[in-house]
Amino acid sequence: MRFGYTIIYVPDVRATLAHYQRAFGLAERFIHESGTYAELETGATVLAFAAEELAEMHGFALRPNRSADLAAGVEIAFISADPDQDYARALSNGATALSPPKDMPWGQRVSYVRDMNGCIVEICSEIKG
Amino acid sequence: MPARYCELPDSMIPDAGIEAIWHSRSDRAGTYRVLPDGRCDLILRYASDAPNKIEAVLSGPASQFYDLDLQPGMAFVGARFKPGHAPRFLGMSLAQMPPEGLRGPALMHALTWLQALTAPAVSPEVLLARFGTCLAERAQEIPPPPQKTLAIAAAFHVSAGRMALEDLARIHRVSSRQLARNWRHLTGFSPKTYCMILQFQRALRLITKSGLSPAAAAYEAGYADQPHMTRAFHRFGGFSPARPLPVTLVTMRS
Repeated sequence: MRFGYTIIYVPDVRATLAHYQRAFGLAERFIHESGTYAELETGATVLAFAAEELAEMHGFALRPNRSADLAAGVEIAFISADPDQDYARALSNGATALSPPKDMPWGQRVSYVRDMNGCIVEICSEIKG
Repeated sequence: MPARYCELPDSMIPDAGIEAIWHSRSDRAGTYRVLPDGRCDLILRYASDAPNKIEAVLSGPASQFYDLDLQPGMAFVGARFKPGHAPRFLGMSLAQMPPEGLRGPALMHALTWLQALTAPAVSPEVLLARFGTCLAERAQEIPPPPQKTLAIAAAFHVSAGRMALEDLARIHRVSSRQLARNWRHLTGFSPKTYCMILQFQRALRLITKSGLSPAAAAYEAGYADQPHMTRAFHRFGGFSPARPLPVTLVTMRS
């Protein structure tokens, strides 16, 4: 087996895709014409969004991601060449602040926001080797 | 089963608040068990050999199973609305809708646009095509529901009835009272009954489609214990989890 996808179930796939393009500077790889599934250009491992109705059709139930709810116990981390600039861009494009960029003892600059659906997103620098 | 229930392929459904367009025809006398699904269906009923006497029926917010008596040749076409869409489509609130639904003059009076649908048709195929066209045209005329309504409907469904009213209200920034009142208007059900129906429908699918044992299904569907699930099955399905009847499981998607 190999790791294939992380799929986030969201109330509005098109809106979330547009939000990730603006707030995190990621490109769209694919969107299904039905608007119920989309993938971002994230390299070998796919970050995708799926409509909540698909979860229902696949037979599972979940707690929906909503910005006013407690966040789900999972985070997405993006490695950035300039965390301060990317953190500011996220905040001016619909993400909400959790923790501004700060230097960690292990040599990484780390910040956290919540995306438009309330999912936790980390924006951090590469760990210096 | 005495009747064959078929849904049209997705490509033939106007993507505007309609969950399924279906048709059904009975080839012999018998009863057909209808399970509560929380949905509202607009149904045209006719004799399959000659669709010149067509009766419109609007299904009501039933919170128990019921058995429909079928005669050979009795046929139906129906459209099932996605949760939250029916009142806009129909131009009426579902809050006061009786559980047995509306039919006859009461329905025709409430929904004058139905008259075009109940005119005689030369064949069942023509009737079905006309039904689809009429719904597609109506879908074009009406604005979509507010985004918040769609998000609330999606949350009910994706959590399969496992979230409390207070939680659903809080995460969508409305009061519990507002949400409950609006949900009655949209579906004819209280949020609590609606959640119990969703939970039952999911548990039934886990057993009959996914092959889970009743114990595993009760756990995954969020029932406190197996007797709790058994009571829900008797109320909503009229059978036990260990021996579900071969009922029709309709497509449900928010």
